Amino acid sequence: MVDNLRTSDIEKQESARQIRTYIGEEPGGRLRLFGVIPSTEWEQFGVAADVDALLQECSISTEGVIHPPTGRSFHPSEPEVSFELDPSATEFRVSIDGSDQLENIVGDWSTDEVSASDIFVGDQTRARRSNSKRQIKLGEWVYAVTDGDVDTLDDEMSLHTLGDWEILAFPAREDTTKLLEQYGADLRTDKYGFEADVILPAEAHPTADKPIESPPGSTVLIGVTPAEEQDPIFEIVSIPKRKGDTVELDPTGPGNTRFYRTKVPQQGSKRVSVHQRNSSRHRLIHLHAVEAEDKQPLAESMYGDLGLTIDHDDQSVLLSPTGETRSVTIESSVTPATLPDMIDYVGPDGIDLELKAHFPPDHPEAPSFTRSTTDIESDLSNMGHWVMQGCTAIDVTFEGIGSVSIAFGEETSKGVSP
Amino acid sequence: MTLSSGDRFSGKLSLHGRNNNIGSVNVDGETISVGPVICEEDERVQLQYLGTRKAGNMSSTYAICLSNHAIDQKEYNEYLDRIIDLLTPNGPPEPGTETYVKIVEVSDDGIGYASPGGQRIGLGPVAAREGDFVQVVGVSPTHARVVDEQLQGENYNTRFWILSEQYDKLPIQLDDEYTSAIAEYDGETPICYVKNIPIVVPDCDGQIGQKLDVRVTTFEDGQIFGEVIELYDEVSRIKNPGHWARMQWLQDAGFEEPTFLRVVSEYIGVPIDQLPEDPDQLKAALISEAIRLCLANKAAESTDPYPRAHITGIRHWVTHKLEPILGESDGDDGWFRQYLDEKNGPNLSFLGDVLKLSNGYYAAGSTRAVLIGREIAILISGVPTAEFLDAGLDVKLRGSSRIIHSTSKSELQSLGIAVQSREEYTTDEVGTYDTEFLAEFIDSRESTEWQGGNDWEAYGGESSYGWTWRDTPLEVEDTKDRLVSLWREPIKYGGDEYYLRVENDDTFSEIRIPQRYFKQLCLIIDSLSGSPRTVEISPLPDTSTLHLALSFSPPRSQYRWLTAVGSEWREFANNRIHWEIPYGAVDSVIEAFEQLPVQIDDVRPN
Repeated sequence: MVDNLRTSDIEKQESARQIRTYIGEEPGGRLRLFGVIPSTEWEQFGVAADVDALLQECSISTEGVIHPPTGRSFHPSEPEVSFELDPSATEFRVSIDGSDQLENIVGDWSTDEVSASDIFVGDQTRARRSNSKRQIKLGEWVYAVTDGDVDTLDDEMSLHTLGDWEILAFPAREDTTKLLEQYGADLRTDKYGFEADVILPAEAHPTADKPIESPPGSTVLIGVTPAEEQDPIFEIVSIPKRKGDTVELDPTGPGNTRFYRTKVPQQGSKRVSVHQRNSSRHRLIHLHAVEAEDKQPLAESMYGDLGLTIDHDDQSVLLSPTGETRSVTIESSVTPATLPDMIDYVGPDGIDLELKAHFPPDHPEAPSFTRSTTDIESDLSNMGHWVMQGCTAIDVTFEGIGSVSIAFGEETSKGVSP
Repeated sequence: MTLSSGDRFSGKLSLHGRNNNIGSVNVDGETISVGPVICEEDERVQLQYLGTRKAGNMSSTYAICLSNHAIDQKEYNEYLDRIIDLLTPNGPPEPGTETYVKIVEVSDDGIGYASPGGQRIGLGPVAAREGDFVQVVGVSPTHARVVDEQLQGENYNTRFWILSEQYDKLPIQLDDEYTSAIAEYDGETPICYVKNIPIVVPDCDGQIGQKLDVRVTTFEDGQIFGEVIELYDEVSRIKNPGHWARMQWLQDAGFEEPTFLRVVSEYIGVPIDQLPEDPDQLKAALISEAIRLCLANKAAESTDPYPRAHITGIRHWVTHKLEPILGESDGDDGWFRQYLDEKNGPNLSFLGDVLKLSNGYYAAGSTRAVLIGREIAILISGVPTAEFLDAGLDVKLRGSSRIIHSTSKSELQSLGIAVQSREEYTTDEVGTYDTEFLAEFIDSRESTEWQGGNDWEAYGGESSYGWTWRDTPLEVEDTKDRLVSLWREPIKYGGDEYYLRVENDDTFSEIRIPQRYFKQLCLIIDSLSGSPRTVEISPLPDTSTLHLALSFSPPRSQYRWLTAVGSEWREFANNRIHWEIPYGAVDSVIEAFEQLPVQIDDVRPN
């Protein structure tokens, strides 16, 4: 009994050749249904084995899979094998036939078709199809498959399509509990068994169940925290479970964190399950070695442009509060009515900005008027009007960053002249 | 009738009265008045029998309605107030006598008090509010015990026995010895618990979670005192551990001492000598980095040209990362908001590492550096520190701030890092706040006839480090011989408004002052009145920091600069605000304050 409980749900599913099924949001908001099965591990091959050849030789046939995996997909350097599924398919199957050394992957892998009332839980990149009665953590993202019969949409809900299905997405929060009751089958936010948070590597998502990719040998620190009044024993169980591989974490008191420290393997993957003893509660931790130079670079968009772009006569100038060019003069030959088309804001929506429009001394608005906005696009559309009223310059201050200015010149010589 | 005072029973309501809202029930042929109700006739409600009140030849019998749905609580309490003399005794109840009392006070630690006949009695911890009526049984002239278990607070019996000094009922005795752990502090005095009983252990320097052997020494004034026999260097299995206990567990997991420093070093990816030693600064560095890493993680999953993240997602990410190490971040007052964007604090939004957007969204702030010396620059960026380390920069952390050493403008620019001046970074458009600025401010601003209201207050000059408001203004002459004073208009539901009053050729005018100039104009008035505020810089022995003492609360630009260079606020004392500033930043700090009309005393030895 204890041994059965100790075996993680992941391992049980893999023994039963079940495909784990996920929904993920792609850039642009499109939803994607995908399946995951394990790749091979270096340990399962003998020293002399030609891994590439063995994988090359295996045969794979599929049903309901949009981009079927190849033998190479199962190489131990891959953390797992994921493949897009056709949401409308009535059968999902990946049949793998190959050498005995591929024992952990050969067989007929399958999972149920998508149906109304299916629930996927996780984060917006990776939410796993969950059975009913699963306990859900506040802050997790929920995707509920519906047959399109959704009455109302609250602010925090969004409706997506996945094939022919309508998918309702919302975060699990205290104020969305009623949605969980309505669409979340028996999902419960109370009495969540325990948290297993990935503290190190620092850049790893703390709660998502996707593989943690980090350089070989780097430190991994997991904080395991039981529910407030509980002080159970936790253990770290390897996946697949092997004799002698279980590590017990000492209790530290009700609701207190226990720490588990380990390292990313030198190559390939290491999967462990944090298990609350005498329960069926498990949390998968999947560590995968990736050489530092192969790590995903930070999104370049973190360095995104911020400022105003001025487009005129095939020239484009970026006025940036932190850049080299912070002011520009637009010659008076430019028709004021065309200014809104020339000037664009680049940067995140909702930033605090202050616009200061300057006027000549004899103007009723002299010397200037100032207005604050978080919606600069609508103020930019008024710029032509201000210039027609005699505005000589506009300063735009980006809260806490700096400012740029646009002067409206008297002379008709050049175009945009930074 | 078979009912006695305090008995609970149920009955069907009859309604009568002018508004048909006064309820009564019939028991054994006797009508019992229930008071105002909001339910339908014939509804069955739960009641508690009170008794009969006699007035002359008339008598009335009363019960309290216990079914909350059947009453309007406010209206019902008013009703109970009217029949209070029936419910409550004229003094503390005799020992063993049951009665009702009205709770007149609930202390911060949940102890309820009543005042029957004007004599204050303690009720022990209550799960009720001021104004509620509770049934009690007298214990002593100073204490009565709450009867209804639902209205008793947590751990009622033990706490009531201690408060009412019934020490003989406690399951511990004098000279008993126990093994326990420090569970909390009362002020600076540790408290451990034995059999759910708090024992105060003065003169103990143990940390939360630290195991100890304690001997019970005194029962006194509703408290139990003990002395420490032995303090162990190990953590006990307690609820709500502190920093010390968490560090012990991290040591058990393999992080050697100095544990917190090593964990933060591993987290940020810098050697420990690049980190601050001060635990608060270290905590600030850790939380700030977690927020940056979260924004990077969210950006990696986004295709927006300038990715944003909602506070719900950021909070989930950061608190799950760090609560195991730092403890819970409670609501909007917790460490998460403190370092993200708490108002007026040295946080990432204030520094510019994070952009606070509308509707609960945030984004990484633009990357730039501000040179503060020949080879030192402040790094302002929402990008995690590892990126800059990978680029070969020597980054040191000072709380939320990051400082690049051994660098140059050309190196920074070659790495694509924009370089801002201090003035650009602090977004202060004014060069120097002096008398010329005051005259120009008056000349360039729209003025109207003086309207000052009766409730307006005038700036009265230096007093402590704040801004003092009086009835009589401190008036100064500007360079054009105009008499100038500064006034505050209190705004009931918003920030105060500020105005200059200008007297020129016997005419009075007012000029509205934008909030961002108010402190600077106060400083100009102080300076013109001959009492300039002061900035004192002095050495701090055995540290790599200098002491900065300000006799005023700095304007936003100077505050931002102090924060950005990694200065640390220390205390308010002797009418000064005290900071520690890093040695290498002192010249730039002096430059920042030279913008203001203040007296700078640099008392560093040459």
